Amino acid sequence: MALSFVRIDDRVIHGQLVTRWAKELPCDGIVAIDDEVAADPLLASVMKGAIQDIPVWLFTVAQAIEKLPKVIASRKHYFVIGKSPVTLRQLAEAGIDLHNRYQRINVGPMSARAGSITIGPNQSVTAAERDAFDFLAACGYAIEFRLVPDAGCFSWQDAQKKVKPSA
Amino acid sequence: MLTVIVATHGPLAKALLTSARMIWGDLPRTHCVTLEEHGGITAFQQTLADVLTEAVCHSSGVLVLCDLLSGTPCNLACRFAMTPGHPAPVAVVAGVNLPMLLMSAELLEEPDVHQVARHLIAQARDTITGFRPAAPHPEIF
Repeated sequence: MALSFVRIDDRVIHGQLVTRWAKELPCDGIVAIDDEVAADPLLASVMKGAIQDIPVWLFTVAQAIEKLPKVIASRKHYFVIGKSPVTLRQLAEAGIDLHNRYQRINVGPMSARAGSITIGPNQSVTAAERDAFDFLAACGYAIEFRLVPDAGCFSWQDAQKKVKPSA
Repeated sequence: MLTVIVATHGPLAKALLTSARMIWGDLPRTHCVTLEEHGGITAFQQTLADVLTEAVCHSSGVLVLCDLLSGTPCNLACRFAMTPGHPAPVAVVAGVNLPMLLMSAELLEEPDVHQVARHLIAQARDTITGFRPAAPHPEIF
């Protein structure tokens, strides 16, 4: 199992937060996946420069679907960071196995946007993201919302109570 | 466990904590004390003494992060730190910034507050940097 950690973070590469996780879990490199960032070479270069001592690859979803099987087959340990649960859903639908050494899908910051519902500190989800989390949960992935390793956390099951309040 | 106190001129300490929580989530055992223009030095001195006294009684060490070397918050924190007889040691660092405050959250379980202060200064120094593009790495995938 070459994935040591799978995370959703709408900042994609968020310097001090990613390096904090990299102290907790083995990390020989970070595969970050977002169509928008991967298509913007200048932004991609800025994000790669934010982490000097760990190699970072920025892929589109299509590139990730092609390359992740090789990453997973590797003997090294890699982090996978997707911009949103929709990103990870696309990977799972394409048959990518997101099981990892951390044994969960971790969720970091998801900013408030129009139409989003706040479920935790700096964590908000849109309808499409809710569907994606439901899909990932139905695939059997445990999903935890936790910004940094020492912080408090809650699960998608906990969050569902906030997004779908019982009448 | 250590306790962290951020002490600054004006609202900086409070704002640093607000900003840090936005990025990091909750920061346990972390407090702020601000020297307000209207409250004056006497009120600040009293509040700082109260917060520090409470902290030394309930911690294995107290780390005070001040904004400015030889500013009033720093001077008063150092004076408290050097007063003998506290039940726990107090270390004072000047030049607090956001990366330093975030890093302090990882060090609360360390046993030696003075060592934590040295470590934090070294780490925070590295975060003050100009942007450099990442060195190209081999496209192994």
